[in-house]
This record gives sequence, C-alpha cells and structure tokens, in this order.
Amino acid sequence: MRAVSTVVDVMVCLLLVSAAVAALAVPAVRGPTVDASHSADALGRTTTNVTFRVDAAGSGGPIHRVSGTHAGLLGRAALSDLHLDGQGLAPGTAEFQTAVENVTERALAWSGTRTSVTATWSPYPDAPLAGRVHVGARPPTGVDVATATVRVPVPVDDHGTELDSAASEGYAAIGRIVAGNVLDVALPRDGIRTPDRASHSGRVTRRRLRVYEEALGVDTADGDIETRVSRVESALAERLTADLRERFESPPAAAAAIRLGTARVVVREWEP
Amino acid sequence: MNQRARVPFALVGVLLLGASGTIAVSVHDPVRVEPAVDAGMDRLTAEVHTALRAAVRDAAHGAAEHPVVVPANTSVGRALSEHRPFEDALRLRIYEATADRLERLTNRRRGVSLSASLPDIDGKGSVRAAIERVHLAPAGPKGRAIAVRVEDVRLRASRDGRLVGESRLEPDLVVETPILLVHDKVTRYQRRLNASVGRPGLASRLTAVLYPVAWARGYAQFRGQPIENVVANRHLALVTNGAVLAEQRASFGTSDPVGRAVYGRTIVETGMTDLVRGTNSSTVARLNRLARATGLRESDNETLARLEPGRHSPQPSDSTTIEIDRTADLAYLRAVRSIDEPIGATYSPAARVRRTVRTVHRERLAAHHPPDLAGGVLDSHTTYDTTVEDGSATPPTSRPGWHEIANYSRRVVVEEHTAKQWSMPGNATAVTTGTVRLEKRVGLLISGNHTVGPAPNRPIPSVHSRGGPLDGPNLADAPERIRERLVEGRGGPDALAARAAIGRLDTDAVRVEAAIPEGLAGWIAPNLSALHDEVSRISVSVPRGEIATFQANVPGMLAERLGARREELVDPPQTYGSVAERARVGVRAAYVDRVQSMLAERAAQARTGREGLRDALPGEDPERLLRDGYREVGSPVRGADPPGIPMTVDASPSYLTVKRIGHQTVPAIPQNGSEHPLVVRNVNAFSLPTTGVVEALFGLLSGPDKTSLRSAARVLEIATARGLDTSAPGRDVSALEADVSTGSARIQAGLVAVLARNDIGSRNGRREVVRTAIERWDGTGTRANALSNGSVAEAVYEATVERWPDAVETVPERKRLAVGLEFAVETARDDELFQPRQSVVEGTADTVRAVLGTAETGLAERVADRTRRRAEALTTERAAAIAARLPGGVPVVPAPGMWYAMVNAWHVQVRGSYVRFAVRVPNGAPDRMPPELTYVRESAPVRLDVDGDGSAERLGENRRIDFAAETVVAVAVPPKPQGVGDVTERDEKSPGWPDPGPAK
Repeated sequence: MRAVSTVVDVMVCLLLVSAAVAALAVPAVRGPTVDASHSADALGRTTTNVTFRVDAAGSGGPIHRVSGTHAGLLGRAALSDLHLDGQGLAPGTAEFQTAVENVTERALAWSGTRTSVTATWSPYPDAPLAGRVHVGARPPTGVDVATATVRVPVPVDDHGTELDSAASEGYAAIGRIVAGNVLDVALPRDGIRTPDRASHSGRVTRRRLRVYEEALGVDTADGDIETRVSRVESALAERLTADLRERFESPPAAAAAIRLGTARVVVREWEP
Repeated sequence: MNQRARVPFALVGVLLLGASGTIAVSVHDPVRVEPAVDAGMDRLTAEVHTALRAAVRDAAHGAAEHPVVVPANTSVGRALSEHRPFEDALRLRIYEATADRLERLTNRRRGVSLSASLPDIDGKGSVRAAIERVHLAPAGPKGRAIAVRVEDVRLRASRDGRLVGESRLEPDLVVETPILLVHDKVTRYQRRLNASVGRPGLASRLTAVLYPVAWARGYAQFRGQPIENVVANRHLALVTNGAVLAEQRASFGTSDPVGRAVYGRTIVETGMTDLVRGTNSSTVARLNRLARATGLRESDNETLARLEPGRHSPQPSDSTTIEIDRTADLAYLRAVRSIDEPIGATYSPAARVRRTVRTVHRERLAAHHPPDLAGGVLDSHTTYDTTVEDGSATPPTSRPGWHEIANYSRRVVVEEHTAKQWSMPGNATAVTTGTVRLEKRVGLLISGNHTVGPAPNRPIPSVHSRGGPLDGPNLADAPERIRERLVEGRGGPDALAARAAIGRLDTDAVRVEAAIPEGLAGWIAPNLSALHDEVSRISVSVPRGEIATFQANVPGMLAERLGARREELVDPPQTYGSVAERARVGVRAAYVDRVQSMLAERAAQARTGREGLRDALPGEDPERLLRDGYREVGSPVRGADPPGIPMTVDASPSYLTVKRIGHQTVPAIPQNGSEHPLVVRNVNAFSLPTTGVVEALFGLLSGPDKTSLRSAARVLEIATARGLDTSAPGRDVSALEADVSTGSARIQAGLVAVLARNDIGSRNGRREVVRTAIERWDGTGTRANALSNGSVAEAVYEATVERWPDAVETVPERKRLAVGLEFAVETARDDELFQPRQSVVEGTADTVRAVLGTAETGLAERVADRTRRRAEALTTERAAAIAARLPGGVPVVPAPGMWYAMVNAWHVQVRGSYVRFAVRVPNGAPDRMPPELTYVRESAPVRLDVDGDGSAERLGENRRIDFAAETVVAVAVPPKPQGVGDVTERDEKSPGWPDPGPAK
C-alpha cells in the first residue's frame, strides 16, 4: 500500500515538476519572435532615389530620377502599375517598378530576418482596379509571421467631402468620383498637360490611352485627347459602379470603404 | 520503516508549479507604460516626412500648371509678395497640400491616438503667416530640386481623450522638382524676347538676320532685279520665327519641334521663291538641295536661321573705297578760276616802319600863367613845330621773319605850343599859351616780309634778284617799291622822323604789290592739275554698313586723311628757288586748304543727314536702334545659360503666323475665338518715287511744292513706257511733261554757258553741239533723265573735244571743261525756279503706283485662268522690274561733289503673343501621366482653396508670354540714281497691328 502511495506520490511530483517546467518554458516560444514594425519604420523613414526610363513602345526617352522614402516610392510604384480585372493598364512602366523593387530589396538585405514587402493601391478592398508591387520571397507555410502596415500618400486626390455627398446620391456618383480622380493622374485630360504627339512623353501618353480604351472596350475612334479621356472615364465609372453595387450593401458603406489618397505598404517578417 | 511524517513529493511538485506559474506570468505580461507613445510619435514623424514630400510634389505640379504671374487684388492675393508672387503661391500651395495630407495621417496605435497638423488658415493675416512658415530654396545640382522646410508641424498623442504626448516638428527635406529652375528659364526667355536691341535677345538676333537679307535684296534691286520691297512683312514674319526659335534654344536648350519643322518648310517655300529671288544663285541652289532633302536636320535649321545669303553677296562688313574725287574736282574748278589770289598774295610782301624815339633835351620856353580867378581848363590845343636834321640814333632791329630794307637816324627838335582855354567868372573865358622845346633822337627802320601768301615759310635766297623759272623779277623790285610806298609816298625820311617824334607815325604793316611775272598762272596751272589728280585719289576705306548706319562720317574721314597728308601734298622745297616757286607752292597749299574746308562742310552736312533719319522713322530713338543694331551684325548673339536638364518647349502656336488663326488651327485658342499670333510693321525711311521726302529732308527743295527733276523724269519715263491712262483729272501727264521740259531746258542752257565761259566755238556752234548730244536719247522723260544724271554732259564734252580740239588742247583745259559741264548740270538741277512741281509729279506717280498695285493683286485673284495668270505674272514681273528702278534712298551727303552712297533704312517692329506656352521637364514617376513637370503660361485666373471650405479663392493671374521687339536696319548702295528702297508700301503693317493676341 505504502509502496503504491510512494510510487503515486513520485509520479504526481514528477508530473507537477514537468508542469512547472512547461509553465516556464512554453511561454518563451508562444509569441512571434520577430517584429515587422521596425522594418516598416525604416522603410518609411529612409530616403533613396531611383532612375529609370519610361518606355514608349521601344524607345527609351529621357532618364527620370525620383527620390523619396522607400515606402513612398513603393506606394507610387503600386499606383503606377494599375490593372483592371487583371489586365495591365500601364505599359512601359516596368522599369520604374523594377527600380523601386531593387532599392527596397537592397535596403532590406541588412535585416537579420526574412522580410517581404507588398505595396498595393486600390480604391477599396478587392476592387477590380488595383496596382501592386512585391519585394521578397513569400513566407513559408507554418511559420509565425509578423506584419506591419504603413499607409503612404500617392498623387490621387481623396476628396473626402465630395465622397460624403456622393454617398447620398448612389453608387454611380461614387464610381464617377473614383474614376475621375484616378484618371486625373493616370492620363492628361486637358491641353495644358497633354504633350505633343511627336514628343516621347506624348507617345507614352497616347499608348497608355489606347490600352485603357482596349481594356474598357471603348471605341478607339479619333478625337482629341480630352474627348477620348472622358469616354474612358465614363466607361471606367460604369465598371466600378457595377462592382460597388455588387460588393457593398449601401452607397454610404461603399463611400466609407474608399481610400484614394494612400497606398498600403505591408511588411512581413519571419524567422528563417 | 520509520514512522516519520513524510512530505509527499507531490507537494514539492505543487510548489514548483505554483512558482513557475508566477514567474511565467511575471515574465510574459510586463506592465505596459508610455513607450507606446514614443514609438507612435516616431512612426508619425516618418509619416509626416512622406506626406510633406508628396505635398511638395503635388504643389509643384499645381504651381507649374497654374503659375501666378500677377497677384490678385483679393485678400489671399494681397498676401502674396508683389515681386515674387510665383514663389509665394508655391509656398502657399505647399502649406495647403501639407495641411491636407497631415489631416489624413490621424490614426490609432494600441489605444493611443496620434495626429499631426498645421495651424489653420482662416483670415488674411494667417495666409501670410502660413506662407512664411514654408521656406523654399533651389537645391541640387543644376537647380533640379528644391529644399523645403515647414515650420510649426504639431504632433499630438492622446489616450481616451487625454493628452499624453505633444511635440513640434520642423521637417526639412529636398524634393526633386525643377519648378524654380523652369520658372526662372521661362521668365528669362520672356525677358530676352523683349530685350532692346544691343542686349542679347530677340531684337539683336532679328537685326543680325535682317541685315544680310536686306543687303542681299537691296543689292539685287539695285542691280535691277524685280524686287519691290527690300524688307517686306512676310520676310519679317519668317525671320522673326527663326529668331524666336533660336531664342528658345538659347533659353531652354531646345526649341519647339513643330515650330522648327514649320519654319523649315516655310523657309524652303517662301525663301526659295521669294526671299532670295534673284539675289544669289548659290543660295537658291542650297535651298533647292534643302527642299529635296527629306527631313530637315537641326543643323540645317541653324544655318537657315541665319539666312546667310552666300559669300558673294554684299555684306555690311564689306569695305568700300571712297575717294575725295568730285569734291577735289569742284575745288579744282574754283581754284583755277581764282588762281590769281594765292599768286597775288605771294607777290605782295608786307612792309612796315618801326621807330625808336629818345628825348635828349627838354626846355620850357614859355609857361602858362592862368589868371587869378581862372577855374578849370575848358579846352587845350597843341601844335608842333619840328625841325629835322641828320643825327645819330639807334634804329630798331628787325623782327624775326622781317628784314631790313632801309634805316634812318634823325635829330628832331620839336616845339610844342599849347594853348589852354580857362573858364572865368561871369561866363567869360581866358586863354594862355605855353611852349616847350624838345630835342629827340629818332631811329627809323623800314622792314619787309616776303613770307606772305599761302605757301609754307621757307627761305628764298634769291628773293631780291631777278631770275627764276620765268626769268621774272622775283621780288627784286620789292625794296624799291616798298621804299616808294612807305618812305617817298609818305614824304621822305624826315617827314617820317618828324611824325615819329610827335607820336603820329603809322607803324601798321601794309601789303605792297610787287610785279608778277608774265605767264606765271599758266606756268603753275599744270602743276595744280597734277595735284588735283593726286588729291582726288585720296581715299578712305569704310565698311558699307558704317556708311548705311551713319556711323562713319566719310567726308570727315577724308578731311582727316587729307590733313595728315597736307605737308606731303603741298610739297614745299627746303628753300624756294624763286618767288615764282613759292607762288606755285602757295597755289597748291591754297588748293589743299580749299578741299579741306569743303570736306569739313560736307562732314557737318552728313551729321544733318543722320538727324533727318529721326524725322523719317517712327519710334522714340531710331538713331540709337540703328547704332546698337549695327553692332549686332556679324557678332553672335550671346546665349542664355541653357539648363542642365532636358526641357521640351511646347508653344501654341508653334509657328507665329501673321495670319489670323482660330481653334481649328491651334486647339489652345477657344472655340469661336481667333488670334493674331504675330503682328509686324516695317517702315521704310526713304521710300519714293516722288514724295520729295529726301529733298525736303535735306533742304534741297526751296519751295514746298517742288521736287527733283530726277524723280519727275523717272515717273514720266515709266508713265510713258506703260502708256498709262492719263485722262483722270489731276493726273495729267502733259503737265508733267511740260514741267520736265522746262527743267531740261535749264540744264541745256547751263551746258551752253560752260562752253561760252571756256571760250569755245561760236554761239551757234555751241548750241548745235549740245543739241546733237541730247538727240542720242529719245522722249522727254528719258532725255530729262540723261540730262539730270550727267550722261548728256559727258556727251557734250566728247563732242566738244572732237569738234574744237585746239580750244581744249591741254589737260588742264580739258579737265576744266569736263568738271565745268558736270557742275553746270548740278547747279541747273538745283535751280528751284525750274524744278518740276511736286503736285504735278505726284498725280502721275499715284497712277503708276496704282497700276503696279493692281498687277500684284490681280495675280492672286485670277488663279483659275492659267494662261491669263501667266501673262499677269509676266506683267507683274515687268512692273516690278520697272518699279525697282524708281529712285529710293538718300545720298549720305546731299551736296554736289560728295555723292558716294545711297542709303536707306527700315524701322522694323514685331509683336507676338503665345496663346499658351508650355515647357515640359521629365520629372516624377509614371504614376502621374505624363511623367513630367509642365510649366504653362497662358491667360487664366489662378485659384486655390486656401481655407478648406470647398470653394477656391482667387490667388492671381497667369499671363501669356508676349513680346515686342524693334530695330532698324540700313542698306548702302553705290551712288546711282535708282538707289535702294521699297516701292509699293512705305509703311507696311500686318493685319491686327499693333495688338497681337485675340483678334478684335
């Protein structure tokens, strides 16, 4: 009997000791061991510059030089590579995106952890119109991943007040604002900004306009730039309106989800 | 087994578990403290920098696309600096964009809410304060970036509405945008377009281009090519565009590509057919090659921009040699007529008497004894009694240059009787007398000076002995004649001595004419003739441009050259072999001096001509324009400092036409609007045919209604040649014919008179010679022309020499005849009594102009009828060819004998206005299309929502680039009657002048 109780006692003791060991040891591996916010801060704080050309169907054009924080440049790179339903809208801009990706990669190479950065711009989550750039490998499945998100400004206008009033008018009004604001920067729409067709930037601009027309199924009839861009604008507005109607319960909900002036830069880190 | 109480192992385990649990909890759940706020603030600071960078970028695009050139008179506009409204507007835009972006940064982190902000703008004072919170400076290499610092950015952290952290930030960063650089370049470009001639810019460039064009066309016209207007507005438009494109290149490193292409095409089209028509074959060939070339390379355009008319065309820098020539002739003619003057002067030595008087004794013979009551002396009268005897005295010595001819010593006793009249009481007078006796010694010297006349001073050893080339008396008889005149003629030495003693000797020099050898003038004449040849060939070499622009005063230069050579030309020997030789040299010296003073007179007239230009041209100071403009010829216009980064010029319109254009042509022009992008005006200073401007200007015309025979004859000639309809009242060709005949008759009479003056032939013979000479020409107009341009005078000379060879045997005689005939023509031509009336000439001239004008417009109207058009074209050509021979321009010095060039000047004004002028600089990423900074200048208000109330406030105005440039170009051609000048329109204005831009 006694022998039995001793055995039981020892067993219980060992059990409790191992529980105590577990209590001390297990919490040490429970949380993520990495913090992505340091990298995110670094990307938002350090400035760099990139040089690139904008390609006009084969001809290089002048060298551009853009400087800014890594995060800012990533946001602009995302905006510069817009896709509509997966179809690219910005031909000739790959050199800029690659340049931004390269400087970001070099900046992250010093970090001891594995890092990937994704910058996206879209007017609202899961919109058919979006731009995205990505740097670094995808994290393997099964590891703990730390993330940090930075929002960076891009040249698209926000027009918060206008969106509020559009919310009361319906989906179409919201669609028009989004399409208008995007095209304000994506294409020139007046005589002032439109470069001469013979110049390099004129060729780049007209090439991009044609791509928009094709993607939206707009007649590529002749006409001056202003007319053509406004045709593209209505088509884009229609497309976005349809999507908003499908995706949101009410126009105010849709308006609340819209973010035009910033891009999201998401930093992910994990232990190798 | 013992019975000791046992602590079960399990209890130990329980304790261990409890402890480990406590440790685990205390390790993994630390107490959270404020570091979250710090981290949050850190993150926020980084975000502020990124937001500011984006805001600056956006603001730069906004400021470039809508620059404020003039601040508005609104509360916001007044907050902008008047001198730097553009920079201030940019600062305000940066502030506004930053504030807007900061508002959106507001976020929450782990229960801490973070926000960044700038002070709100809500009143005028705060607008200025906001501007001053933004600091701006150019930065980066080549100015392609700006350094921005924003003061007073406030960061706040709060938890549950409670403020837990606050700080202020002054973010400071450099943004890559060439906004300040491009603004500066455009501002400089506009300044250069408006710079006055002489400074680097459009006007100087225009001048440099117009000179060769005007010269090429001017000389072509001068040679009789059918060029109506030497400087025409269509050329002005062309060269202005060329110059404007070159200015763009100077300011931005490049020019508008479309403008360049249009310019290239236009120059090939216009240039080849018109601009250089008939000027130079190599130019046309070059333009032909260009036309064949498929594309115009930039270098070709550059060459074209200078419109170089070829090496063989006359250039302003070409020198022309001008001889004293006709002035020497005229002086010669006068010198021959008055050759006796210098000879007489040489043979009239000067003579004078000089004296020394010494009083050796003085004695009062009778003193005055005035009465007791005498008052003052009312009158006094002295008489002298003199007694002259030979005596010893020291005569004066002769002065340098004078030599003694005789001297005398005399002792003179003078009794000086003085009567004085005194005033006495009671209106009475009293007279007293007194006598003084003086003994004086008087020396007299008679001296002569033969260094008289115009010849330089040299000794003549043989002066008082006979001899010399004509075996003449020299001045051998001069001492005798002097003694006769000065001593014997005045009563002999004793009388002279007596006069000297009482102080009444005339010591002034007198000229005593000595005997002049027979035939001396004839002996000197050939020598003068040779000198005349030599003097008339004295020349100066002057760039033609300096003559055209009145920069060089040719008569003045000739006078200077002559002055420098005077000694050599007068050529005096070391000693004169004879007085005759001295007279010869004197005649030479007088001749040279005569030419010199005539040149000096012409030099003054040339200055008057320059002033005349001021009256003939519009504008404030055409003389200055002419002077400053000429300096630009041949010297490259200094470029601006081109930017170190690529820029694209995008001008609307790219090519500034003088035609009115609308929206269809240039989309930047609003619908239904129309514009005159370029307006030009050119005024020809001395454009004739007959207005008499020239003559009036130079005061050649005495009456207001008179014109020159030269002009009248031309008009008559053309009117007759074209068989004008002269039935219209006031356009009576027969009246003109009568006037011209009168003028012609006056010249004929003058020619006959010259023959008479030279004692050639009989009265009838002389008339016959002149009549025969004229008959070579046909028609009143043509004859008058031949008469007035001297052709007839030449013919008369030849006929005379042929008919009476004996009468004009020697070279001086012939020369005298030739020169005499020439000047007879000039004198007769300028005789106002016989000049044609201007009103009569003008009537016919109007008809001529009308016909020429019709022929030109008729061409354009009748395009359909090909054959007819060809015929018309031929007529136009012919009409223009005739017109080209109409006299134009003015002689530089409108005086007889000094006609070395015909000059003319054009005052050129161009004014332009761009509907829109954009400069694009690659800048930025392709997220904004096009990826460039576009700086735009146009007429538009500039607005910005400063206070964030949703409606934009007016900041100011964007203004167009417009410009005005003026210059004067001048052309000089050789002295032929046709000269150079515009034929049809003197004052040519393009449509819309004087206001470029929107058409009214």
